Amino acid sequence: MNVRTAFPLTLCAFVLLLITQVANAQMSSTNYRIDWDVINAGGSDSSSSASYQLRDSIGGVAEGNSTSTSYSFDAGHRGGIYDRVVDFNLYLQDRSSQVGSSALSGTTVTIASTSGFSADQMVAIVQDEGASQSTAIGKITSVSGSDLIIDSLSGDSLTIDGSNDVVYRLNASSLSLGTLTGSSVATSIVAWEASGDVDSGFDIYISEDTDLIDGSNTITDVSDGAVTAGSTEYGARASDSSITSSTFDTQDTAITTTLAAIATESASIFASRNFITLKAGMTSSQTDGSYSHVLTVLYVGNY
Amino acid sequence: MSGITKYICLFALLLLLPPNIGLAEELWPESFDVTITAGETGDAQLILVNDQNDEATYELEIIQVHIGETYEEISFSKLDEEIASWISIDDGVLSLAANTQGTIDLAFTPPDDLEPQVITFGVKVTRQNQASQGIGVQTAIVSLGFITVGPVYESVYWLDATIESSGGWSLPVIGHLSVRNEGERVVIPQGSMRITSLFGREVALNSVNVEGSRAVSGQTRTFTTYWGEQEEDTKQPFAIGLFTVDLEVQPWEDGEVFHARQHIIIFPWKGALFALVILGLLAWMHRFSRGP
Repeated sequence: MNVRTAFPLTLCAFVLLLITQVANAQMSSTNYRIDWDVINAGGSDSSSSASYQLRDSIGGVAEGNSTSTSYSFDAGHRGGIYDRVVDFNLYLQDRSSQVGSSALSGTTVTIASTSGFSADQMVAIVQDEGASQSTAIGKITSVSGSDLIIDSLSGDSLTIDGSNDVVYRLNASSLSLGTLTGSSVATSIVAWEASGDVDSGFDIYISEDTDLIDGSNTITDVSDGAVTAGSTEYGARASDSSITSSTFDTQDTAITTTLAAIATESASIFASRNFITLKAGMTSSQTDGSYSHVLTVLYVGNY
Repeated sequence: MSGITKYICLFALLLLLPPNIGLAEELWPESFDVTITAGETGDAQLILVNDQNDEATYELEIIQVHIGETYEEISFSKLDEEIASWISIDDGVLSLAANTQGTIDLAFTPPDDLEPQVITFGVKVTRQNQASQGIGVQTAIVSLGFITVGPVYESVYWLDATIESSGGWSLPVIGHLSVRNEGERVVIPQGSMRITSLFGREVALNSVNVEGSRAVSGQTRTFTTYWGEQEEDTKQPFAIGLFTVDLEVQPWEDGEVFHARQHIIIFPWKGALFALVILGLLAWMHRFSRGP
């Protein structure tokens, strides 16, 4: 094609484009996207009557859900169909896994011993452990020498210098505050990872069944905004700071039998991570005992 | 690599990933609606998935939910005794083996003389984790149920319907629909945002409020619908020219249709500028090739 014919043809093409053109790309390359596709044996995409709606398929190939830290993969015919689904994972601090930490660079934390640590474990990195500690959580992607490589850190901005800085695994089945003393504040972390395919987001709440008790003895709820060493009091602080009606993010706050909001998301999100730090202190006159109670961490989607 | 090969490779890669560690469960649906007439019976079913590699026991409980004008204004209490007499759950405890799922069956038998009303309740599913010592921590998920008994007062006010293109010229085109529920009936706007070309050809049809979010009595909600990719730095589909955007929604099934229409011009100036440069170049070459 010479220039004399190319010019009018290009001009015509441009005018046609200006008139109105649309190209949609449900499947494309470069930044590849498959909204959903199916190799199936049968079934109906949608069946309904006045009282029910059924969306089914038969003989789906390689169906199921798989996730990593950065994406979620729904394989199978129903994978591309929107349903409001909740996925909620809880991670509790394993006090016995404590190991000292000497440095943090980006998402690589250096610890005294990597024994017991492995990929896909959730960990908490704690700076200046105690009443005013700062904490960040993340999932180990790999272990290299004395380093843990974390996928991403959620929580406080940390400066780890080896002075009272520690790392814990978050894989316990129950929490322990250890042995309380009159000279320090004991802490423990409850972390969670929540996914909600809900445009309006979701909220996380906490409540307790009773105060922290041992028979008739109680470690009373904090009421002055700070759990301090030498005082018998118990409370929690949340990592989420976006709830205007909550004091959990600004001060140590009592957990009660009434559900209280401790974290929120205002949009659909995958693998949202947050945590609360439980804190307890005691006077030297506090009766010795094994204090316990049950906390409930509750997820509610924003309907 | 072909698309299907990528698909298979990605799936194979994901199979190699180890499972999550922790306490985990899924509950479906996250919220649901039931419409029933006083004196009749109805039911609903939830699905609970134990994602963990251990057996789990779940405590099932129906609780009262009090909702205010915003999402933050929500509180929970023990289910009112009168309501508890006609909302029942099949079993108070559900045990699930590792990586299995079970169903939670709900039954509704509102008495004949029950006044028409909307009741919001929650099915609270608590994974039991009683520590032998120390602090036990349980996860719980609430699936919210909205039950409408009988014909309730319906009143909805469409506050605003705005259709705009990004930056005035580009995709995505965004439809904002604000509605206030001034009645009792739960409003779940459903409809579509239809885009047609200058010649009347439909080029896109996107659902409004795909997830079925609600505006309960006294609430104002804004629902957003996109034509094009809503995330920044994502390649948009190609579109250029004059388009007509029709937003049609109903507040509920068989409700009165609300319709808004707007004309928009999409002009991807970067692409157009590039095309003009090429045209200019061709024009110059065309003139040059014809000689003096």
